[in-house]
Amino acid sequence: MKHEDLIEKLKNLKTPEIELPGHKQALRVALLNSGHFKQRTIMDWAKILAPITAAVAIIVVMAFFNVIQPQLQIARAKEIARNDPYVQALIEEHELDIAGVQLRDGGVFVLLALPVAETRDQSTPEGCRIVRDALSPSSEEELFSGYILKVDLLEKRVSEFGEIDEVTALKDINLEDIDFVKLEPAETAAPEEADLE
Amino acid sequence: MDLNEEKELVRQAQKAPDAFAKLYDHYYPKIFGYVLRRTVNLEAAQDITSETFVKALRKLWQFRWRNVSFSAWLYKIATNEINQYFRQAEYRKSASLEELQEQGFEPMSPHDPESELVEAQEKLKQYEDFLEIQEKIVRLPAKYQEVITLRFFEQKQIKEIAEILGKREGTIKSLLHRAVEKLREAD
Repeated sequence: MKHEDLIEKLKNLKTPEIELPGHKQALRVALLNSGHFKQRTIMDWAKILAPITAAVAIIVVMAFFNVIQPQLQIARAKEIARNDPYVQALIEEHELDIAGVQLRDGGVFVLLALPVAETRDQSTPEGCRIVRDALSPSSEEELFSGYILKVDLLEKRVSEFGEIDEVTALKDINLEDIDFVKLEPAETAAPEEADLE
Repeated sequence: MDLNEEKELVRQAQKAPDAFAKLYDHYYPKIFGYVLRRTVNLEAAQDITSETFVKALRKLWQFRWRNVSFSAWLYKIATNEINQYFRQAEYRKSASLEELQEQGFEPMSPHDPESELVEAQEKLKQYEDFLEIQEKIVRLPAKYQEVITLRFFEQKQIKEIAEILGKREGTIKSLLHRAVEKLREAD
């Protein structure tokens, strides 16, 4: 048989046109009463809520990393600094207090200086001439001196410290200009042996 | 049913059972007929048709009228099911009516499947010429069976076949030519 003849044969072939009305009806009932249309409503909500949930999750994550986590780190750094025996010794000896904390260059830095109330007190100890809130822009003319501490949050200790003189704000301190001295954990444990000068 | 009407029905059917019922009524005979003409097995045709509509219902909410029409989409599901049937020695029959009930679908309306099948079987036997040529077609690779059935038994245009099989029109023409040639050689 030729190619064209076979095509003609296929075109003109009488094909079975059989129906199974019972099956058709039974399947129809099964499909329509299946509960899938109720599930569609749930899927509708899922489709609507999914992007909203994703957006909220992103906002929460961003808020955590940009607002909450820095605040937590600052609070932890303050606590670590306060509990550090070496820092306690510094505070007691020079009547200092934590004047500011800042996250910079991937580290957490704590400023130790005299409390603001004592800035006008003439009995300011040597090395802590004028003290002010380092993060406050309201007293730009005032300068402060004291110590800057680098806090290691992972090891939960003050890892380095350096002296600062006549700086207007913590954010203005050039960390590269600070001659940081590393503190070993053993030194931290024995503050009376540390050289405060 | 014109294309716009069908588009609207498909949109509604994603939520409304009535609209889905209209689509089902329209397409059940076509899909069942297509499956039967491919398998020449009434029981398999029932199961494959059921599975096709169950899948269509489950995936309808994902259906977007882009490159493929709803009709082509249904035929595509059915074609995949048929190919699975031919690949597996025993088709899993997950969509038999009894299985559907077990999956939580509502009980069937009363009908006598046995007598209906026997009657249909007798009718099918009357199509001797078709059965004779179909016996040769089923020996061909699936890709040739698909194009021959869709083109000559389902009277689908080349463009529609391309949509259903997800191939280019040129590929379908070439497949069709080779399929007829293979069938001629088998004759």
